[in-house]
Amino acid sequence: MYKRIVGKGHLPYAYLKIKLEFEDGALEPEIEAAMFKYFITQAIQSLHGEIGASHSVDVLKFRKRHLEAILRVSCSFLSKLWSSLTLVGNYKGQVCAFRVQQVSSHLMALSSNSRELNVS
Amino acid sequence: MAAPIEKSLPIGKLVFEKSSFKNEKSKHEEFIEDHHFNYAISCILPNCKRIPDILQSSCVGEKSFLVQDLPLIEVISLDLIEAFIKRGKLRMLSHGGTIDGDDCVAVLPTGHLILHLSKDTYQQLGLEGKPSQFPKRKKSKYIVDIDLTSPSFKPGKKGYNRVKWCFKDRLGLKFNFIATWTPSDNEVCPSSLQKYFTMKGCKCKPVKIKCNMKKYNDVLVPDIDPSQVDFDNMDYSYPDVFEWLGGFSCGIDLSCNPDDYLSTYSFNGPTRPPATCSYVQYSGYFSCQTVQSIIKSIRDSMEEWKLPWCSVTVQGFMDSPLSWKQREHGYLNNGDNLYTFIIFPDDSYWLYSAYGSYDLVS
Amino acid sequence: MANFMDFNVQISEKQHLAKTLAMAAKLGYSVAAVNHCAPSIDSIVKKKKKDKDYHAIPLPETLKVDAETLKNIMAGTKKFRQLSRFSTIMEDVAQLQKLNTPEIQAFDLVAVQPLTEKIFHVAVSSLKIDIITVDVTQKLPYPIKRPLINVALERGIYFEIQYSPAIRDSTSRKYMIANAQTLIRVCKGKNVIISSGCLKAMDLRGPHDVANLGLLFGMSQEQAKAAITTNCQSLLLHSESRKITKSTVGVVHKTKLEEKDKWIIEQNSANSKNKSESRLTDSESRKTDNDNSKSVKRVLDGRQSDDIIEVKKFKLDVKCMEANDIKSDVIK
Repeated sequence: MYKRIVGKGHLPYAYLKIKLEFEDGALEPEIEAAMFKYFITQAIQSLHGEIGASHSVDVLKFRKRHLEAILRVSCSFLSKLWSSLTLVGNYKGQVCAFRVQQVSSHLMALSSNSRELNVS
Repeated sequence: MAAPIEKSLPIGKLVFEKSSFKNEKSKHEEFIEDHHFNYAISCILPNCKRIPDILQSSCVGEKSFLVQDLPLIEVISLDLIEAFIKRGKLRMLSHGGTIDGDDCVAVLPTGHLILHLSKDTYQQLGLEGKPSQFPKRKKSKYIVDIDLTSPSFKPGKKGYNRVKWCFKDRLGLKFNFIATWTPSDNEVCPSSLQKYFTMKGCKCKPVKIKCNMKKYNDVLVPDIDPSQVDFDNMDYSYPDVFEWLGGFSCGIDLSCNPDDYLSTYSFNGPTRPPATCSYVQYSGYFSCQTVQSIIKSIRDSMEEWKLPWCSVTVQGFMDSPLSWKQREHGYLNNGDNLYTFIIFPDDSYWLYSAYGSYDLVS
Repeated sequence: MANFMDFNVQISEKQHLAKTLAMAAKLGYSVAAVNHCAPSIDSIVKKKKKDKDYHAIPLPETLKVDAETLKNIMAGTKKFRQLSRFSTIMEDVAQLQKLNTPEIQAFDLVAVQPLTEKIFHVAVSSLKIDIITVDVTQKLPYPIKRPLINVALERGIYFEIQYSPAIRDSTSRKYMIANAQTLIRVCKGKNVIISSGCLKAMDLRGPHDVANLGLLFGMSQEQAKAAITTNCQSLLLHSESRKITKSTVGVVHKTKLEEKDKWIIEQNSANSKNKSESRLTDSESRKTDNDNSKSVKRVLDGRQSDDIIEVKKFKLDVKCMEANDIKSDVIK
């Protein structure tokens, strides 16, 4: 009746909650989900080349209004994707930055963030 | 040039258990009690159009509060130990600092005071402890464990005086604490702890409980068969279900096509016919007692609500120095410590416990 | 682990700077150093004021934003500290001594970017500096060799990699990765800090993003995190010791001891004299032979009866010693 399974090795995926930020007061361009994904793929390709671009990055969720997204990527590719995002400096000439808000190997963990607890 | 990046980063672990609430050896109650600091409780209720009142009332009625600038010396005062720590389950956690940069403190219901200190504070404080397990090679954090309920921990004894002197005269350590207290005597009100601190001259505030409710129509909910023991011969396995639950909690549209440009996600297992599905998340600070009572009320009402299954997820604080029991917890790029119960109508359950990068798994 | 720090925020207009610091605080940094970069040290030292090229060295305090602005920055976060930093580019050995002027040494951090191997050698082995900057926008002008790195490790000097030029253009990115990888291969990931070198707020990246960038350079996860936390902390201590290099032992009058440090005297007089003496002279006796240490003890003994009581080593250091002593007492 009782069964316990401890996952061996690494979990297959890593999930990232990210936000694309533009300069304060700058007019934010309208970005569609497909454009957003293309932008990320471009960023990977410019840093890690063809091998990097061959990995698939899934955009699980994209909120156009806030430019927030949840990405899924295979765990072994996480740090490459992450570094590509870090080195992004502009979107079509407009200064921008990706802020990685949460990283986890459990999608469930992204549904809340205890550092946001605001008591006062 | 491809950068030589370490092949993969260990960023989390997942443990899966299945058992039944009816099973005498089932340790679900201890398991919940051992996870001391609960930040958020969320439930997924398939085939359900509205959140049952009983969930609402037990979460919103939570009596947790914040004590501001409480000097550590107060935590070892005999009054507190005798009146609260020994007569109930007191759980306190320092709030506002991050576990990887600041000093963190926790009081456990076992009467242990855990100080998770940075090297500077540790060396100035002068209490004996051991280096933290994380990070492994560089010793930059230290853990001091003081048993407040030990018979020799009394004013006048050498050990007590030493601790008192360190807290009071060496470093006047002060923290904001979030606290809950579950008295062992039902007739005592849990809020007496708040009164006690107010009496001592500390400002107390209730922790606001935030509530986030969502209703989704026409959701294809996985059809989970709890009797399955062997995942090898199935279309889906336990991590797939956990991923689905996570996706649903984050509000992701899970019905997408695997050939889509945006995402290749798909759930391989069987699904139930489309139905309305409710989701609720309460966040703040919850006692283990509240989690127990929610699980219990869901178990009791499964039949009545006609749920095929129901999931309850409890998320811990990222900056807590412990995950379960006294197992050490840290923060590398995440500080996950959470668990999910999937409860079935026949009283069996699946239990996922998820750990972050700096965690000890038993 | 210590808090996140960014040791290179380029100086800009106050309003601009306040914005950048606010961004740093928002992203989770708790310390930021405002950097005054002098392209050449010749133009600022020992030139007559009438000279056209004269640029005064600013006072460290003038780099920082005023207390009012800082308060606004700190509104969201609990603590935020700003530091001052002076950096310069060196191409001539003759310039080296100019770094020792009190105006420059008064900065919280002093950094040098050597342009030739010779300067690099001197900078590592004898200059009074904290940081050696590796230019990330062009090819390394000199090879970095292991023996020199060992000297730097010993002296507590750190190497700095800046990431923000790499965000601005892709050529710098190429050189940054190449130079950083070379450096980290030679240093084995130790004694490296990663800082932004940002000109504006949008060049800043979150601390965890930066730590991940360290992996790209060949650091392990823990080393990468140390590069923006514990290594910076050690640097702060190093810079403190740079300012008081000539004295490792300070003497404090007993009436001037802080309230919470009074116990040091009390405990000493309570303990047997022998013990307290041996504790006081611990560091000295290690270096000297028996006879000498006795005489040191005697001197201290004489002082004890007079008015100077406590020999305080450099404050942080002494606290560590004490904590250790106390610990051994407890164990006994």
